[in-house]
Amino acid sequence: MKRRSWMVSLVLGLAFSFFPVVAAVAGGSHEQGAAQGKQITLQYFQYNGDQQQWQDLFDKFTALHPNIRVQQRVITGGASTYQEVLKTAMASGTEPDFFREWGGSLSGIMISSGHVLPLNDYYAKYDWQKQVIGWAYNQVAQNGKLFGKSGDIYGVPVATQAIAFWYSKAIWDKLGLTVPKTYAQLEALNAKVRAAGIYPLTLGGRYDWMTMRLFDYLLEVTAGPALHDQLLEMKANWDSPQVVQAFTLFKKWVDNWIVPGFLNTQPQDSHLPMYQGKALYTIEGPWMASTFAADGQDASNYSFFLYPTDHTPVRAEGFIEQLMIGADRPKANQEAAAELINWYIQPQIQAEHLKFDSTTGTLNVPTEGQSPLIAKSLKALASLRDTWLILDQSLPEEPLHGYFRAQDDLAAGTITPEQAAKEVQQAIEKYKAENK
Amino acid sequence: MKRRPTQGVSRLTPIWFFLPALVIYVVFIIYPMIDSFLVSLQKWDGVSIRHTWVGLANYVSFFKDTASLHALARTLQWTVGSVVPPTILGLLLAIALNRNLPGKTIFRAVFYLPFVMPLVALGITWSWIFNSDFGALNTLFRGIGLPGLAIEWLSNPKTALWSIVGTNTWYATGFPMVLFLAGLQTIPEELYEAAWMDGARPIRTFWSITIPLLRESLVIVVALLIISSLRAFDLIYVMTWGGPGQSTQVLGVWMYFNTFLFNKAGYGSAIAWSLTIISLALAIPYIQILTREKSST
Repeated sequence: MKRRSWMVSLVLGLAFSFFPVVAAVAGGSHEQGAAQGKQITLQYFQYNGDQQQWQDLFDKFTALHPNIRVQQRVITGGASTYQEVLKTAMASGTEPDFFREWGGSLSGIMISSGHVLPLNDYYAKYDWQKQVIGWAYNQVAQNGKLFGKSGDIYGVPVATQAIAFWYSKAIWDKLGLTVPKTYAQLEALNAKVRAAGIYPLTLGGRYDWMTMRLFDYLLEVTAGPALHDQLLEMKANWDSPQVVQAFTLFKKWVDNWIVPGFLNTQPQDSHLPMYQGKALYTIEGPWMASTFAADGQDASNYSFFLYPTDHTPVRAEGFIEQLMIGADRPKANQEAAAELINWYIQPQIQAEHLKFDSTTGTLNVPTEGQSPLIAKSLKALASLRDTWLILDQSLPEEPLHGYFRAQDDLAAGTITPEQAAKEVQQAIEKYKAENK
Repeated sequence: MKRRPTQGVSRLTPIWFFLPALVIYVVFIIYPMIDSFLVSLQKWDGVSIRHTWVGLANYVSFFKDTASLHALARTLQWTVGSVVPPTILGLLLAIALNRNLPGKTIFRAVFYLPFVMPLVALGITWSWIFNSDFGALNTLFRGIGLPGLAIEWLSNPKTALWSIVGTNTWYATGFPMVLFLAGLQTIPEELYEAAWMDGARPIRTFWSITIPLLRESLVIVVALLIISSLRAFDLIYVMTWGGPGQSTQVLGVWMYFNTFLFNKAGYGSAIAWSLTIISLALAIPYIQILTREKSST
């Protein structure tokens, strides 16, 4: 009797010990894809937008393809959290079937690790290249060249973001301002606004990337497109006069035209001065058309103008968001995901999508019924002839953070523009030496 | 004849009872520690299947890398800032609340309350308080006619770290206060009465009676605060993300950046293990002191 009781204790104890392991394994598994006609559940990771609105859209796809349903997982916490969750899923073999991702170096690690499927066959099958915005396709192709096999395409662009100056019409009209066409005109505008007791620019510098947008624009002005691209690809020396000039201009903006204390302001809090009439504009992307509404603002009170770069053609600081497919997923799941992506990027579906998002990667999306601000933004995005890939997606993370340190130290006045340029170049050289 | 209770229970019986806990400990503590150490000996991005063995190269790189040494220096500053003020304030509060004051239980709870709050929520709240534009602190200073004190607390590299130290002091003081209160309960009241009868002033009794007899509590408080300060992450990550520049970059946050942002899981693990070794170097003497004191009594 005593032997039986301790054996029962042993069995219960071992079951208790292994329960968390079993539960984790069971919870992580889902239906495996099978041949066409059999039920497939696609796991989708995303960081953007309301889950229910996305699910309603996916349910429309399921109505057309009853054997395919989508189970989405919304990763809250912003860009850095999403990347870590995605990397952890890939490293642990629990990657999604398809997922939303930024471009450039952010998706680079996913591509170089071999966890993302090349989509060349699907591009040929569905003729996607003709359906998406040209510069967006170029960025996706460049991504493949940098991080994967040259010639391989790893994503389908579904969002195009170009950074611009988003301003308050109330202040704009009150001061009688006009859209600057040159950098000198922009500086003159800033001086006029500041003389009226208002800060031109409000930024949220806590995570550095919002401040970086300003410098990236100034670098386009001082270096021009060709050198700018070479600098972003780490093919040109950052310790150069054009970069020093960009840093000098940046310091001028910090000292004169940006709401003080911005280095620690959260990006989502940075719009407050603009809403309160203390600042004229911010540097953001097309998502502002939705953000104004989410912040309880009337979007018709705001507008935007693209960067006056003093170079032709005028380029914008842009980036894409794309859908990618997991390389380690079953073939049937990959094909189902490709079929869904093809349906999703059709213009009439993108018009539905624009009811809760403010941008697209597809050409010729109907804009009837859209807000004037979104329609204006879409028109501007589609008409861009070229963009440069935003700095924080161009440089790998480690030299990028070397740039962030130099940017912040310069803004705080602890180093000079010359030192900032040198420090960035040193960070790039260190990265190259460690990654030969 | 009655059976003795131990008959029928083999020598293996105790082992069967602690086996489940041991299995959990090995699976969730020991195995990840060993795996983490092995990762620290490799060059690995944390995602790829490819791993490259590099031996102690990550540890050597740590002591050659300017940014890492900078983070180490910030960590030492942070450690001083997160040990000294809470210890001193905690001791003073414990002495004050060890008396028969009306409502002392409520006061003890109030001062201890921040310590049980989640650090992330605290960090977010205090970063709003410190906001130079709309924060409560600067609004107060401007309101009482002291605009010169309304500075950029978290945006200025000179004040950012010490602003977070202030937040941490507010958060952590309750913990040493409780430990010191427990220690003060063990000091016989007769010692203070005898000293008073001999004409000793409060300052004299504090240094000659209270401090020596609180030695054990002091060792525990200081050692535990040092160990927890070396692991600092939440508050700094939430309040400043290691910035501006690198002015608040401590090793806990630097380890996270290298592992998850720079895709240098091997180097990040080496930083984590370096922190562990430093913590052990401080914890072992503390345990030895305690053990020596107990065995001598």
